Amino acid sequence: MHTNSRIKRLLRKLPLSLGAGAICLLSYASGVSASQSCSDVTGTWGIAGDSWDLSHDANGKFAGIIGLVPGGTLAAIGKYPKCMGGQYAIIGGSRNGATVGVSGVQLGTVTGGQPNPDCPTNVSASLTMAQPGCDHGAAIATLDGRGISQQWRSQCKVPTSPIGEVTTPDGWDTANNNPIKAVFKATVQPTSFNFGGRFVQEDFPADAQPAKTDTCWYPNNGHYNPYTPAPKPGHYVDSDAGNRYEDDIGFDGAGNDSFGYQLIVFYRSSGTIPCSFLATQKMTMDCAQNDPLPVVVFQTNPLVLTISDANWSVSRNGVPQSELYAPSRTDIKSGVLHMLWKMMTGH
Amino acid sequence: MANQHMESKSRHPFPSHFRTPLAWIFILALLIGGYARADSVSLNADSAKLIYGSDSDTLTIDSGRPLMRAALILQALYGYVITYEDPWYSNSDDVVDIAPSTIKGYSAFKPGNGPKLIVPRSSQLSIKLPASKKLSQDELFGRLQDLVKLQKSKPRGGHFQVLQTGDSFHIIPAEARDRNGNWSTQSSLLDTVISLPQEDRTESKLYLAIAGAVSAAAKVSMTVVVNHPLSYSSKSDLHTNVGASNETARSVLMRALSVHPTKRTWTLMQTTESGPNVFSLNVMDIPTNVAAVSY
Repeated sequence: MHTNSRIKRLLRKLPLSLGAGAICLLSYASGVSASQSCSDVTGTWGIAGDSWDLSHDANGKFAGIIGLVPGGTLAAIGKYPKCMGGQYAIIGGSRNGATVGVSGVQLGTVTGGQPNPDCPTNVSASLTMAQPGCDHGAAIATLDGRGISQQWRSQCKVPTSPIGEVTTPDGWDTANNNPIKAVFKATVQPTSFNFGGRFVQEDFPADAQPAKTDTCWYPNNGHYNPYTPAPKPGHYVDSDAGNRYEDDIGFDGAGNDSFGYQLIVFYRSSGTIPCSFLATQKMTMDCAQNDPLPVVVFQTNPLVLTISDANWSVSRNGVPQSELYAPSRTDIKSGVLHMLWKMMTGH
Repeated sequence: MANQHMESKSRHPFPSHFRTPLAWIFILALLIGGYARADSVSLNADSAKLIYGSDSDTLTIDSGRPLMRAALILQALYGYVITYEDPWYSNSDDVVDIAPSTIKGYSAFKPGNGPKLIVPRSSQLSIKLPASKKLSQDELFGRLQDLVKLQKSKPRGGHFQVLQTGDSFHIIPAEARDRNGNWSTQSSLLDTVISLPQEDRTESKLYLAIAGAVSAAAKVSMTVVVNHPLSYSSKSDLHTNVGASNETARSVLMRALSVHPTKRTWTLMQTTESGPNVFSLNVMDIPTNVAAVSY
């Protein structure tokens, strides 16, 4: 009796209920915030033609060589007309989020030699790594106390071994009141290479999609158009957190008025279940715009969202999550029959 | 015309919460009475194809909503907003039960005991379009008029008219057959005059408020879908203070569309699956890819 009342209320409300809430199949990581920062400063950074070959270890200790060239920062500052370039050893550095400060001295003096008086003795730079790609940004290069603003960039950084990712389930996004949005954690491989601060981009190229991406939809459906996958903004790889990012898949919103609830109940009522929404998600790692390196798809994830009699299931690359959700088709049918019977008989 | 339509709608004697079960009873009655056509996949076609030619392209449609499908493709081709509104189907010859070919496990039901799934019956349209990717407003208006005339030559389905507001076009119902098969004038549900308090709302809430106001005034149940609920929609939480005072729902909707930075359009479908008084207002980003709407 209680169930019937509930179903009756639900069915009464369904056609009138109007959903609210944001809409997304794959909303990007909820952790995106001002704290996002690039974390890998290794590699060779070009500043106005100069070469800053930097590395830092797990303890934050910087090392490397700075190579100044005649037409680079030297020329920009204009104080060293006779300096034909030189090499500098990194003697210190620090990192604060996406900003890196490094300093160096003439390489020869490190081993006790005399500084070349035609060239600056001390060089330093403050570099800010920018997204996308964490491979470019703004710099202030300083030669013996005289600074100048420059832009820097490095080659898009990728590991020597192939990139991949591992998907693990992480429940439902109930923390944000999205009970039918599945949370997945993806860890970009290899974990020995730091992708922190980068964005994993997703795409759904039309020629890669399943022949049918919406098996719930039926011709001349009076409520929904067929689902076609579409990408959304990139997924942020947590800074210094083991190459992990979050991919949330499903509907935003909760309650009987939400779009997701209505869609699930509609297709259960229509009788086309079990049915699925399918997509092939192709993942690429971001690089700075116009980077000469080709974008490489490092992971292809089949996505399957299934409405069955009583369950709502979401699967990413074969990793499933499932929950009981909304009235089952059996309940809906019995609710309708109960109402019809009551209306006809008055009992 | 509008008043006549409104009067007929306002005579509805049942409280709103009985409407869904009554809709089911209506559908069952149609079928038990033998009015509904035999189900058939051929009566439930829903396809739209654009065949490219050297001098002109050919748009061929076979659908229960041929003008809606045409509007989607024309929007993708030419970039104009073309909204579409279903007629109010009440003649059983205009609809078809697709349950046997659509509902999973239908064969398990005893003959005559299976559930029903009622949708508009398909019809075909074909029209030539210029190969040029640019069409003036006048030219597009002419093409839409051609489509409306073509549809009018069909024995089934609704008859329509075309309205233009600014650089947007609206395909709205003009006539449909009543239960006895006589053509009768219809007015647009979106000609319903509504008022909304001017207050801060999200964009989605504004659509819901418009649908709610039309539902109350016209004694129907109008649901809202904004894009497909599984599709990512950027800036879905934009706020607006759009209100309305004795304004047609279409006019308010046009203002609501302008809130979003992306060009948007709508289709208003009669959800015959759920009963005769149920409508779905689908607001969506204007299609930009012909392939995506050529399903």
